[in-house]
Amino acid sequence: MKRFTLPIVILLIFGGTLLARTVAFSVDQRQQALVLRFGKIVEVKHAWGTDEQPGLKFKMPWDNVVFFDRRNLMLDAPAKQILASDQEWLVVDVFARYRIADPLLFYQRVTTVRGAELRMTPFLEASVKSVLGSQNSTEIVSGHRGDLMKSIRDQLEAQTKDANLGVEIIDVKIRRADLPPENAAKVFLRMITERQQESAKIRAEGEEQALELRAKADREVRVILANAKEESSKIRGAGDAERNEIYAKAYNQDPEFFAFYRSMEAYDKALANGQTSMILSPDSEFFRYFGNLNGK
Amino acid sequence: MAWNNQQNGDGGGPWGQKPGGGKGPWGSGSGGGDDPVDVDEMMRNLQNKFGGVFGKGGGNGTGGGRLGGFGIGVFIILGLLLWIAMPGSGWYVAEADEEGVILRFGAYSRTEPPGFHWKLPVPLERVLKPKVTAAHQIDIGLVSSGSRRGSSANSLMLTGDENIVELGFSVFWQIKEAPDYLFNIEDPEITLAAVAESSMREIVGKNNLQDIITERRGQIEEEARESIQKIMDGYGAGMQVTQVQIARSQAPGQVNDAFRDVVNAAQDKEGTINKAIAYRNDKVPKARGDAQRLLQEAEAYREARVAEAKGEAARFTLVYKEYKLAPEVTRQRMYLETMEQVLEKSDKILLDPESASGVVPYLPLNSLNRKGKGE
Repeated sequence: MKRFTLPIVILLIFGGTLLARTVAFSVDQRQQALVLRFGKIVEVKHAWGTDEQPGLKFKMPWDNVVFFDRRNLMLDAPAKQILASDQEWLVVDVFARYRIADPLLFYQRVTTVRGAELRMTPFLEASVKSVLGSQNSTEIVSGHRGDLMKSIRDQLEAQTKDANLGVEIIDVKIRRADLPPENAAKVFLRMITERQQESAKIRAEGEEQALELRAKADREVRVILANAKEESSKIRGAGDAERNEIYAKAYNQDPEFFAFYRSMEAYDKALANGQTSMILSPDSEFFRYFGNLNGK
Repeated sequence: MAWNNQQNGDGGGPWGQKPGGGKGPWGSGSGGGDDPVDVDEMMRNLQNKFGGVFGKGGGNGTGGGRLGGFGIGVFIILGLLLWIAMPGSGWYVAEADEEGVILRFGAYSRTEPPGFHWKLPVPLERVLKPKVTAAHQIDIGLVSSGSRRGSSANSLMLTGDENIVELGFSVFWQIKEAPDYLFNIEDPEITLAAVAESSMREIVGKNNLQDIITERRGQIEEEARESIQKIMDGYGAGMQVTQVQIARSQAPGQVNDAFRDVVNAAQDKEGTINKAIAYRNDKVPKARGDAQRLLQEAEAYREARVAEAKGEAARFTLVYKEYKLAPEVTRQRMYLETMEQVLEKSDKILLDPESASGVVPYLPLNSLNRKGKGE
């Protein structure tokens, strides 16, 4: 008896653990669980939308348990080209957040998350196409994206509900809505030409201002010189006037003598170079005593 | 690592510590004051569940003899000790930047601060240790960090004025509520990256290129942060977005040259204008100088003319004064002197007008002239 005690205790411990494992299971905070009895669903544990707490749960030893995520999950659809209503192609990349809201339906319809994604991706793409296809590209890129995302969500929700997938769509986000590479090249070209226009304009404005400055400078120079010339002419005129006045004052003392005096001076100056040939008459005043001692 | 943390005092390792200290949950019968209440509860639960089994075993042991019972007791106690003492099983250590979030049978039980903590051994309670104080960073559209799954490698974004901007940014975040962070959302970090990209692209789509690469950058960062935070709160993600930082926003490589040329153009413009200003600064003062010169010349002319005139007038007046004293004689003298002066240098031919009236036409005037010139 004594030598069997140890093996028996070990057996009991192992047996107890095994039994515990068959009747008890834990449901994680992040999970919900379906209890299946011979393939039939008998119970849902910690289901979304119920107040049931996770933790230790019990079942019949022959029951199976299937776990599902209870968290906010991501459905990431591949980027797709979409023709907007203004005939512009856009590459649109969306993702949806969803949750397994009804594990029972979910298990019956799609069984796994992978299966759910396979079913939901076409729905998502269709919703995106139908909502965004009716909008023009500017509206998609810079318009009310929030509203568009909400419409996509609502459509997707309706479709998944119709298909009884047991999921709840939390929201849909447009990660990006961009031009396809070939259209982007056109935009780049346009951006380049726009910049070139801008730089040409800036340079031309520089030229404009520079020309104006130069023209103003030239004008200033001309005005300065012209004013100076005017002023200098006035000064010269004033000089001439003063001179005339001085002469007049002096010569008016005896106009007759002035005529004589000035004539003498002029003769002297005019004929002083010695190149003049003169034919003189002995009768002239100069020769008064030439032929006559008494001057006639 | 966990072993080192656990060594406090006797150095006997975790194995030797528990029985001696009497602190273990299993010695609670004597010194149970230190133990968490939960453990007591747990014990009671265990006893309720497995009480039958243990009781039966115990009965067998006592029935079999003292030595056998003792052996079984030792075996059971050793097994329990091993169960408890395994690192991460009966105890754990939360590092300074971590919190210990305890799940009992998968259900959230409690959150514990950094330090050493007892817990129920492993299948009963498990611990998650999120890094709650660390500032986490997600880079989006930045080449250096490598592309994460949550972000598309493409950093080109369409702007509101239908241009394309190359934009890379970082999102800094912290765990706000550890249980929310752990339990509410699948792949919080990937979700955050996706949401961040979505928000940023939406905001960029509403702004003009020029604003994005220049003055509105800060506002865009803040808008994005708020938008991301709102969405993540909506998901109950338990994450705090502390900052969104645009690390790079510029015109895409293909058009960057053109953008740079705009800057160059502005400088060229300045240069052209400066040259024109230099031209003006050169010409205008020179013109002023010229003007001064003209004025000075005119002034000189006037003064010279006046002086000349004054001189002439003074001379005339002096001569006239003399003349007035003896008009006849002076007049005669001046006449003769002038004539003398004039005729001295000239060729002269004296002709009697009466006899010469027929001769004049025959005089070789040309040769006379030539002779005069020749001399």
